Amino acid sequence: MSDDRTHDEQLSSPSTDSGVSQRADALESFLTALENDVESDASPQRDRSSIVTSDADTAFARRLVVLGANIAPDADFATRLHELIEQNIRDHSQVGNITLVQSAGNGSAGVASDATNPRRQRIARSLSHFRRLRPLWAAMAALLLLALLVALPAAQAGVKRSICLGSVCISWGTPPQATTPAHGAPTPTPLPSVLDLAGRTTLAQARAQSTFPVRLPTYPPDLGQPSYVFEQDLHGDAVILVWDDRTTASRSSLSLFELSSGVFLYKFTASPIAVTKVHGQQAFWTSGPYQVELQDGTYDTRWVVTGHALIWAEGNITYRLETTLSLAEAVRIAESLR
Amino acid sequence: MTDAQGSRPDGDRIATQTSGQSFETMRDEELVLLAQEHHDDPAAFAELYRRHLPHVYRFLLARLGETQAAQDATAQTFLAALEGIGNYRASGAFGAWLMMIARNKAADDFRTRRTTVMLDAAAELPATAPSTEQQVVTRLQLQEVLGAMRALSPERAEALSLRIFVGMSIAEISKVMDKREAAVKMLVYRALEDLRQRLGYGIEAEP
Repeated sequence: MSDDRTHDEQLSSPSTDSGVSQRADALESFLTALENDVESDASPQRDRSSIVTSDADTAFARRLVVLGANIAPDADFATRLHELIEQNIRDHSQVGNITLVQSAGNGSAGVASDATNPRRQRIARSLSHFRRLRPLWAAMAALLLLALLVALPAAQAGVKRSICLGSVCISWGTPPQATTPAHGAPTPTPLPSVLDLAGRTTLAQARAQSTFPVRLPTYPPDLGQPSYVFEQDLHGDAVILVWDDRTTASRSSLSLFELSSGVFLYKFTASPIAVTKVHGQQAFWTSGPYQVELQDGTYDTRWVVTGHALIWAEGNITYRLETTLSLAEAVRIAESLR
Repeated sequence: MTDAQGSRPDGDRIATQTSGQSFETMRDEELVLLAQEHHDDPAAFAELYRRHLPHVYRFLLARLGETQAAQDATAQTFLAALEGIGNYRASGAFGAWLMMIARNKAADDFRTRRTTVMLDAAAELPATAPSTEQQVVTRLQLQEVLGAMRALSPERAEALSLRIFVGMSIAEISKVMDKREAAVKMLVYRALEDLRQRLGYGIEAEP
């Protein structure tokens, strides 16, 4: 038990005003009796006035209990989340296998990719083996769960929800503009859209002027220095690093936003988002084309990228890695920042 | 803990276990074991979700005072539970464990929230109230109460939410909040008294 005794706890010590303690006991007795009365009653509509209330506190408590009992999650929300949990748990084997293939590289791909394979079935029967997979499964199931959780509401016109991580908020539902890019395989960012960004500078200048340490990925080992560096003041420093696609000169293959705590980056999307982890902390993975809105006080809206993005926070800095690579590779890059 | 709603979010779709025993009749701890050992079968976790969703949501709405925040935190709570259920050990009530997660999610929300939210909790009330007039009255009361609860100290608000809105026992709350039962009882009482005074008898006394 906590030793951090609050004022309320001190009041419960032997030196406490016994009158207050007695009233607290009386309130608890009343609440218990009220619950017992409700639980033993087959009819939910039974008049609860049979519970005798002795004073204003218990009368007030009774009204609160009744009021609280009327609070229920929105039926659509409850149903959707329920169905998604069921669906995602059913799908976990496939998702887990993908994880195995991508991250383990241990020659088990053939087993993992075929649910009808007898070896796969034996694995499924082996609880100990599944326990080894459980952390992977749980992470991926959670990932897909939120992906679907987000994707489905987006199909409902007029419904807008959002979730935030650090300086980045992602909203889904009806985008603020009429058109949304068609979904499909992600494509590298067209270079001109990147070069439209203001505040082009050099890495050295960005490091000298930024209020936080500008970090670079050390993976892949041959990534090298960014091709372009931008620094913007959006009620806080925002540094954007862009690496060219070596195979296609007109495109960039990787970009990294490093955002201080004062910056807000809103991302409107109809695309799935998912939960994953970077250094053991929650991160978001978004897929497909989307619209990014940089809030600079005037709510300037810009279309910036078409690709996957990994969003995570470390301390007061929020990172957003845009890439055409897989989730596993993106996480590896994210965890290589130095 | 009881579900005052007594309703299922999606009817009676929960399957029964192959042994023939209904999930509905199982204790939480049995369902947890099933969810851990048969994690390709959604039924056990889905039953836990169905059973605890109203409590988690009520607690988070009472703490956060806003529908969207409560929904987001509820989803995050169950995501975290799904992810962590493999590590859950039956050392206490599953509901208390879940509520600890919800409590952390609420704390995360308070830490990260940057703007004052509008109370839109009125939308939470089911459309089965006796009359339009009564619905309006109830919604206004809920708005008032949730607004006033945000002025309470976090511990008082937590204790009151868990006791009144969730229906947890003092012993269960003691585990969730890591406090002595006597302290929890006092927190609930002080919170109720504080809230009543803040509302200025905003909720009329019973006739």
